[in-house]
Amino acid sequence: MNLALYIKSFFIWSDASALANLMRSSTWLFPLIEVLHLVAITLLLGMISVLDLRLMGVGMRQQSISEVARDTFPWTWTGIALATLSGGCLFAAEAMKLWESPPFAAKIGFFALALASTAVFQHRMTQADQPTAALKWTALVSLLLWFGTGFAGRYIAFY
Amino acid sequence: MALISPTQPSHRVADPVFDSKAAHLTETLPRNDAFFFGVRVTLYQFCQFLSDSHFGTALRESQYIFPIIESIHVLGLAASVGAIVLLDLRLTGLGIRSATPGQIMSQLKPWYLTGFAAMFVSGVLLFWAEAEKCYRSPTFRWKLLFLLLAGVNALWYERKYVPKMHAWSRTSLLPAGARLIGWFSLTCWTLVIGFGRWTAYGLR
Repeated sequence: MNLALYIKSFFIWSDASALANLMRSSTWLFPLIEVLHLVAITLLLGMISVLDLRLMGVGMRQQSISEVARDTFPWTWTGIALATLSGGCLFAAEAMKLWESPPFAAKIGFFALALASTAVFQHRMTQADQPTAALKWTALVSLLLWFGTGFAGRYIAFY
Repeated sequence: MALISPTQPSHRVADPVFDSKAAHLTETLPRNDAFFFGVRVTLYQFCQFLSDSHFGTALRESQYIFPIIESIHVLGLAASVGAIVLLDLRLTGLGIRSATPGQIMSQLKPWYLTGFAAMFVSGVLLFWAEAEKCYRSPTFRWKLLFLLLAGVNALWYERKYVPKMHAWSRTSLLPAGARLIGWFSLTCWTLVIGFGRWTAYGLR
């Protein structure tokens, strides 16, 4: 079967959902949730930057990598959760517009990869005492993926 | 403009925010006039001048430069406010236990400085392009107010607690004043981001 058809039917379903109608019917709800989305992104990208730059040897060097990782991950995941929930609401409100938006497709792609890299390497980072070369590269890739997500997201409005 | 009374000197340019809210007070309220090289200019006229300037217009109508500056302004939040949030979380006691406030501040000092510089420069450029609209935007005024409050709050921390903070250990209980500064900073920056985002919606 055609995968794109399944995905498109999800977009259509989202666009017609009760949540989407609620989001569209209110003047204040959409901007308010967009603000929440941006605050969550600030928290998320802030924490990711601190940890990834520490892995690359910049910033919080008086703390060990595992300490920085253990301190930042609860806030990283709070940011991810808030950004995903608010993002889901925003997505529903204009799902059919986003179906035709290449920057949105890029954003989802970056987001999936960034999320995977964070989830996969979390355990290794909270246990790490010395930054291995592999971890440094992981940090650089993670940083690029997360900021790529943010930039592609911002670009949706300009496309 | 119909809202300007006939008694008003004709060199005054219509000020939409002022005129719609306080047209009946025109004769009694002092306007925010200033003199530049002997010429009387209102803040509104200055904003008009900025957005009508060649540079402001070019910036506003550019295909790539404006979005790029706006992206720097938005994603720069991660470096500037993100680094501030790290210190605030520590001050409030919500997290970041393995570092003392002194360690966070001294290690992230370059971030605060470069983050603030990047936000300031990109923000001034965005304002330059949209100055006339920003003047008329109520949310932009709220943003500036909370930005000012966040700045005063930071200066207060600098004066009162920075001299003492290197004596704080990882386990010491922070003074209530310092914890309050953390909460106040988190609130202010959240509102600055919120009103900033809302300003972009409301510009017309």
